[in-house]
Amino acid sequence: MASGATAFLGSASERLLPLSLPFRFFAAAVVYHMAAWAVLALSAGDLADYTGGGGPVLAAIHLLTLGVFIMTAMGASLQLLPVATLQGFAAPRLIAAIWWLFNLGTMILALGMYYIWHHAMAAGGALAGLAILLYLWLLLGNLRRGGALAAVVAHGWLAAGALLALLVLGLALIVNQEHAVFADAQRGAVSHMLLAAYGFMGLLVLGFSYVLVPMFALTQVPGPKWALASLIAAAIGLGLALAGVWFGQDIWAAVGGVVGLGAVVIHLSLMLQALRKRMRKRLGPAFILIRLAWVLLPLCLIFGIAWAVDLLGERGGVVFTLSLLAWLLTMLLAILQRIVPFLASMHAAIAIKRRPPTVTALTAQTPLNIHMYCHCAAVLLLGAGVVWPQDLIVMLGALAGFAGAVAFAWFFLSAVRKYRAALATA
Amino acid sequence: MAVELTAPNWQADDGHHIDVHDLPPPEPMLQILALLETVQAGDVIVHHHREPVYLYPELAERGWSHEILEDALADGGEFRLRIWRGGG
Repeated sequence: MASGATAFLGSASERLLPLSLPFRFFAAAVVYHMAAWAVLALSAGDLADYTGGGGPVLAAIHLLTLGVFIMTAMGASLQLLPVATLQGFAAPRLIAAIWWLFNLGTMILALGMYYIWHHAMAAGGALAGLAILLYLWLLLGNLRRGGALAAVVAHGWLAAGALLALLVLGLALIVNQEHAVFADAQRGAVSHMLLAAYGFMGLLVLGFSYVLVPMFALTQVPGPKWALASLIAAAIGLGLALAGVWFGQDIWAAVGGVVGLGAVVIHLSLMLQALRKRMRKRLGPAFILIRLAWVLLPLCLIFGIAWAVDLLGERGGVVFTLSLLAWLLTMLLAILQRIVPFLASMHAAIAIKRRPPTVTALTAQTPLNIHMYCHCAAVLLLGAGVVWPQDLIVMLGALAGFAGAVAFAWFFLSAVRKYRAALATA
Repeated sequence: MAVELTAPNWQADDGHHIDVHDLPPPEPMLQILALLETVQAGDVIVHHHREPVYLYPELAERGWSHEILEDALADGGEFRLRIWRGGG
């Protein structure tokens, strides 16, 4: 759809991108997921005492955050936002260009971080940043044209603002490696992390949960009043935490964490309330991971508060960062394993114009079970390996995560193969 | 039933009709599925202001088939979908 158009989009062809577009983002996320665990396994000895700076750990973190988190967020939002806002994302060529730019940027950036090559980091950061700016332009265009779900759209606006801020900070951190930008680079890095995890990804996850969880569980969308109250609390909490980090006021950061916990309590209450009224009796394995993510979300905030008031000792930063990554990775993989077969079934129905293969038929359950056990083992082993600290346990955790990522790739490829087979036999 | 059927619905000669115009997502899907739980046989005709694409996987999972009866959205008209139990 042309930018600025206000025509109402009703038919599927106008509101939906070809399946190959969101799926190429998901496919890339699946590959980066394996790469992140592999790099972490190779650098297991560096994790427990990591305090920031370039090297394999930073590369692994960005393979996850850019390669898995933002890649998944881009693919999912480009496909799902038109449903929430009743508007279209048309520009498939621009979206394909974003995919290429973002992949190239992420790979070069991760390579630069791994080997601490400043120029590669700058080039990769610039390419990924350009892709993010183009994505933001599409995202804002969609949000600006209104929306049927006020809470989802409001979360989208704040998430977009956070994405812009974290991009500027991230690029400044790269420049800072050779030309001093920050008086204290550590504060810049922590602000960048908070904006990425709680600002962009966190708000996007919370916002989309108000439409995805009801869609998956077949229940009504929670009323916008409390969802917006949760958003306001989350924004205040994040603002306080950022101010605390920036001005070196640990107590502000801790209070921000407490306010953030309030936002999470409201959000989780709404989610649990919605689940109690659901039509679907058996929620399926994805909801095991979603529930685990709902436990990890307040837990990482508690770790953040404890770190801010110096209760976690010298490894507090690593423990907090790991818990943040564990929450987001768990939630995103849960969503991904649910929407991949769902979107494949939906697109097959539109293409073949008759009853499509079911979500159940498109879901390979064995690899998903393997992934779930490996993922949980990885989170537990990494946590234990850092707290103890034992490099061998960290490596075992990373290897478990890698095995889970391979199983997840198996699930994804199986869904694509079954979708293609359904089209071929139509 | 966890989701209350509140959308206008009526029985006619050609089947059971439901009007889900102007409901925010995913309410149209919920209302249609809530109706399907009460309909034992015959066709269900959906009246909507857009194609309910996210409904199709749910219909397939429940053993229902679908067919587009009318897609007059481009002309400012409505979208009508026929749903029936069984193979397509």
